[in-house]
Amino acid sequence: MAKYIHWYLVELEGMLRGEVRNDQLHDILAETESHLRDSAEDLASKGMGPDQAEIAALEKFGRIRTFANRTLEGVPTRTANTLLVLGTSVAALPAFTWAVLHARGIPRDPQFGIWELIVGGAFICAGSWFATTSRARLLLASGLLVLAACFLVTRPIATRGAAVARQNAIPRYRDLKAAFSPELEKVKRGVLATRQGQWLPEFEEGGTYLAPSRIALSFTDWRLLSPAGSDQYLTPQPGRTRVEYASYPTWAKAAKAWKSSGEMVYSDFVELWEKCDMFASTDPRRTINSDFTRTGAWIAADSTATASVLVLASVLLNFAISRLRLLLRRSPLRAKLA
Amino acid sequence: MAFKGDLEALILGVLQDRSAHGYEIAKRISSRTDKLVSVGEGQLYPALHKMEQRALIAAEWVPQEGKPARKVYQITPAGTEELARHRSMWERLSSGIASILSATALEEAKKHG
Repeated sequence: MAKYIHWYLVELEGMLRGEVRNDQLHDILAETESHLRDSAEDLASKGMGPDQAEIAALEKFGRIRTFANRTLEGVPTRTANTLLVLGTSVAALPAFTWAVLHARGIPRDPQFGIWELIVGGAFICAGSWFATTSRARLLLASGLLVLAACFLVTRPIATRGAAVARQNAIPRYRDLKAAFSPELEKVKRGVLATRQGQWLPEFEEGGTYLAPSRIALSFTDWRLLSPAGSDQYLTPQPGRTRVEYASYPTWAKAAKAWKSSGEMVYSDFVELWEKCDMFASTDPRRTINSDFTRTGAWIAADSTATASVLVLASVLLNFAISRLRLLLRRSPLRAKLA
Repeated sequence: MAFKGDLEALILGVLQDRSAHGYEIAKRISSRTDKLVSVGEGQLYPALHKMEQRALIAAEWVPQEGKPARKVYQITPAGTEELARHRSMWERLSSGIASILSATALEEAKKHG
């Protein structure tokens, strides 16, 4: 092969290798070689010497770096594919675990770690395979789809989960129903009832006040306990002037106690028949609402904001890496031509 | 209205007659425009690859004796439709420009008497 064309092709291969698939690289190099040889032969037939014809053909074809950049713009690169796969895998992970595993009643700890590894590994393996066999355009579209699904799926589930369960677990709805069913049945039969300002014995344990949220699953259930249908149900003890229910989420009301001054004094809703210990805090500054908000925000951040940042970062990183690779590779042929 | 995708239109126009490899496409564009239009050869292949991805053209490798195989491109039915769209747009654009230029020329001729 003619030496200048050979040098050009070697430099071009160095710029493209690792960025495009091997079969694509082979096609690009073969097509470029064919073109340059035709062009050089054409120029030689017009009276140029072989070396001058080659150099003129290369000049007509353009700089290696420019050609490599233009080629990479139209061809899916491995770096882009791999980083996008990693980004979307990380994005999909919390969505999958929260939407499928947690909603089915699998606690986060300790099994969560194992499931996370399994699911994450599966996502990354499938994504890596996809990255090497598909086009970046499709991958980007699928990544955006995963992000959208991630956002849509995790938000309601995160809110619901935080409201009815301990922070790191989401029991199944039917489990909660089962836990409360004896009490609800009593309510329906009229065995349990409440009166203004007084707890029935069933709601006291060793003199400790128990919030009515223990037996309330929904607003309908609350109404069974409250003839007035009001938010202000009881005045159980001095210093705890009223009890309100919190409306997060719609099917699992919780309660909180307030002083008449408005200060929240009790947020200890420990153990709903050992199935749902929601808030163990006795810190008067914390409210149920703040707990809901805080937990929901953390999960939302975990599943959407983090994923978005990762995917965006992967795209930017890919862009920077591909440009840096081309800048760092100096072409001796280019210097020779100059 | 702007005439966009001119390189794409030129490639499709050249390929509508018969299939060709990259170097031949570049030469035919130059010769058919009396060298008024010359395509940067390094720009040609990325454009060809994008058009191939969009299924406007199809390509196959043709082996040659004693030389590297050539990738020969041919226009597809989708490419023919795209070419018709380009042609329509170009005709509208050129007629619009021609009407302006001819009117200007007429006014100038009147001014100068």
